[in-house]
Amino acid sequence: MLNLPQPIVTFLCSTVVRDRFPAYLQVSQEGELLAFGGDCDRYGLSPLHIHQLVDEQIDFLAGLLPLQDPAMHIPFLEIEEDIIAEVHLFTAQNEDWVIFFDATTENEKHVLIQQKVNDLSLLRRKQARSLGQWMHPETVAENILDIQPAGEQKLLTILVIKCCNIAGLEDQTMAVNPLKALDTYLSTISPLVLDEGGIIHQSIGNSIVAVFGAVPSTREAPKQAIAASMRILDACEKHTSSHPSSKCALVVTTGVVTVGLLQVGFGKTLTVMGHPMDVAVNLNETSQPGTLIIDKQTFDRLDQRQKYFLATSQSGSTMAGLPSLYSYCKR
Amino acid sequence: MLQKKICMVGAFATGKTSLVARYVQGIYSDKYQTTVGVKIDKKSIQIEGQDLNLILWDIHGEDEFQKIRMSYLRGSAAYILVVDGTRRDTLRTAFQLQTRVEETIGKVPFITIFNKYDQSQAWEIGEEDLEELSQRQWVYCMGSARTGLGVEECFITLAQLMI
Repeated sequence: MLNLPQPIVTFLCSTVVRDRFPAYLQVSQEGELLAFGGDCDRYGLSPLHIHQLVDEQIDFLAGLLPLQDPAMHIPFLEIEEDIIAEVHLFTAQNEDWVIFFDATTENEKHVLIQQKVNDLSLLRRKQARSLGQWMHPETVAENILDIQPAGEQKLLTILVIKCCNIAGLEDQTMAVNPLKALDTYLSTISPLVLDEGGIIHQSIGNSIVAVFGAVPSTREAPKQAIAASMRILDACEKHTSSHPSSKCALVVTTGVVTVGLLQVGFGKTLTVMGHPMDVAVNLNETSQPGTLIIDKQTFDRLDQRQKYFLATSQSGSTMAGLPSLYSYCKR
Repeated sequence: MLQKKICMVGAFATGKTSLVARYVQGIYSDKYQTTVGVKIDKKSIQIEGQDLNLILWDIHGEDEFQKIRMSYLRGSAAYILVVDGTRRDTLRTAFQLQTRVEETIGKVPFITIFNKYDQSQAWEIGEEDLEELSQRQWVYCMGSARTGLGVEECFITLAQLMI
């Protein structure tokens, strides 16, 4: 056993292993129970009968044996109420073996963490929904966004995301229903923007404009925008395995803009105007899928993340007065 | 008696555990308690004169940190895709899961249940979503673990598809 001396093996068996209440089953390839032992009662496995079909005695084994893979591991299995087992199944010498260890305490720890993660996720969703639908725009502006409803000049970071190949022909799903594809993009991107402290300003065609710095935060807006951008690129990369054409082109600019609430129809909408916005939208139009371009103002505020960016002259834009640009190079 | 393994799969907090509790024990709790790992339950039923033991695998929900191990589905006779009707993104998770399940265990009967149908004011599933399911020729039903609406029918429909 891993070249451990016998006294250590004995010690481990009499402490670590014993404290986890092991139990085992030995099952023939025909599904007959050949032997059992250990603390089977603890897992609600008894009464067990030798030479009878095991799946008729232990419900969860129905359909699992004989094993199709060399081994299988179930970290947390609740067979008996309040008792959680860690189960290992493996094949040796043409027979299947099932080993049980008590994992009740370990499970409790996992449940605590997972519960928090899921609760936060649900809360985040509720908040996003509330912001968008149920709160009066002026209340949002005064209490949630750090802006004067009448308008003001502010240093903000703009992130423009173009969802590429929406109507592309190489991916059947997207060609059939571009709106559904855009909806998929939006649902993926929106939580990532919100997570990093941004807000979705507007959606124009297949481009999304997000603003950072309007929501009070201890982090600087450019850093938030870059963190969101990297997560969006990662998400697109993961999505690419199932939808090869799914890619985004991102542009981030930082600068002083005029921000406020504008009466549109019967409601008010957040308005952001200024050169950084014009530059971001213009650059994004000519950006290539899978790229992230940032301006110098953003680059100068990045600290250690600057190393991921290289100066670039390629923008494809004919816009006059473009700032120095940098392109993201994943290392 | 025939043993049939049925797996409950879906995004997190869609109500898989609640649906099983409602079906097997006839109970419901409003408190959301996440499932880590797998819970096994059993229900004996009779379908068209045939006795069946349904072995229910209530598998933890899929999220960005906890991916469902497809090996859990080995030996399944059928599965239930659970969608939270008040969270449209859980339908997309169901689409993705169905593809992965079919890659692992092949084509076996399955049914999609849109849970939380009692929360009509927060309902996010539209006609176009149901139309898509119809185009895919998926069997689906509306249900509520809270009220019990459609739960038994869902399991019975699936059992009928199995035999």
